[in-house]
Amino acid sequence: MDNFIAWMAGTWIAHIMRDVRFAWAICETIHFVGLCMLCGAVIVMDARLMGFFRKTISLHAVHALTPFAIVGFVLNLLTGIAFITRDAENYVINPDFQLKILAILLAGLNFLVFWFVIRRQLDKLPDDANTEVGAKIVGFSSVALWCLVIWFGRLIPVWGAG
Amino acid sequence: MSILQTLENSAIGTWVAQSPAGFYILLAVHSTGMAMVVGIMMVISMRLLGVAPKISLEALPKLARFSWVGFWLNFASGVMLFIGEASKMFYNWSFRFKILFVAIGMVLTYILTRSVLKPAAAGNPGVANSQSAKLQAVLNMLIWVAVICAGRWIAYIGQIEVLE
Repeated sequence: MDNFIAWMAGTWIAHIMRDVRFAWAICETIHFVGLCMLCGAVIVMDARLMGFFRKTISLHAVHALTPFAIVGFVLNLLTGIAFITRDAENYVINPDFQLKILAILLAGLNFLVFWFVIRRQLDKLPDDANTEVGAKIVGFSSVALWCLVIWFGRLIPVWGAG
Repeated sequence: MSILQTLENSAIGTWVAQSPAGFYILLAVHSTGMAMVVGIMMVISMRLLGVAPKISLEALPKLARFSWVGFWLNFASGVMLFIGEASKMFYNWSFRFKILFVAIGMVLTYILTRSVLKPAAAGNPGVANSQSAKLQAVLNMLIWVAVICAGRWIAYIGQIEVLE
């Protein structure tokens, strides 16, 4: 682990994040915009998955927002890696960072449950259908987990890193 | 004592400034509200620009109303954060620009809702396909992203040194 941290600190990304004025601030700004893209799409898709907006948003059409969410996620993955390279030794021991990564992994797991289980149930339903309890739970967990990701992320500086 | 110091010395001001929990809970709420306002406005704008065309136009005013929930969440948490650091924030150009951009964003969102989202939802879908609607969608996204930029940069640039 120590070797990996040392290797990251020597990469060109880490040098840019350390030496270029405002590189950190620019990445933070992009990270916030990516957060809004990801969470905006997630909120709308999960609201429909929980059974809201039944009359106006098609259960199937709403998933056209997925690419928009993925672009936001990738922006945040890239800028997130840039943050970590500069300050890895402080990030890995930061409890809020650890909880944030855990929440992201759980959100990923939750997405897999949606993709492989729930999505197949939805295929049979009409556009304006209410959803079953399993779909509602997955939709709610998704919103809740992404909220935790935001909260833990915002609390990272409490412990010194970031 | 100036009004800024009076705010900082108030019960809310001291709670925000001195209790770590108070400050960070407000920041967490402020980030969540940001995701609601900017994220949902982006979804609405992208829909007007042609993304996810099967999301019905009737949904858009409802989504806009939902994004206002995030706005008022951030108004409340933002006012409290300001009270905690009133003299620092007041003398910061990034903060001043942020407030200006928020005001412009509110006006643009109101105009978009009145002139595009509501008529389109009320059975006049042509409105949503007009050049004006697309221009408004782009401007809306830009102004809310500008709010994020100005807000994030409060920590980096624009602080005015004030002689006590």
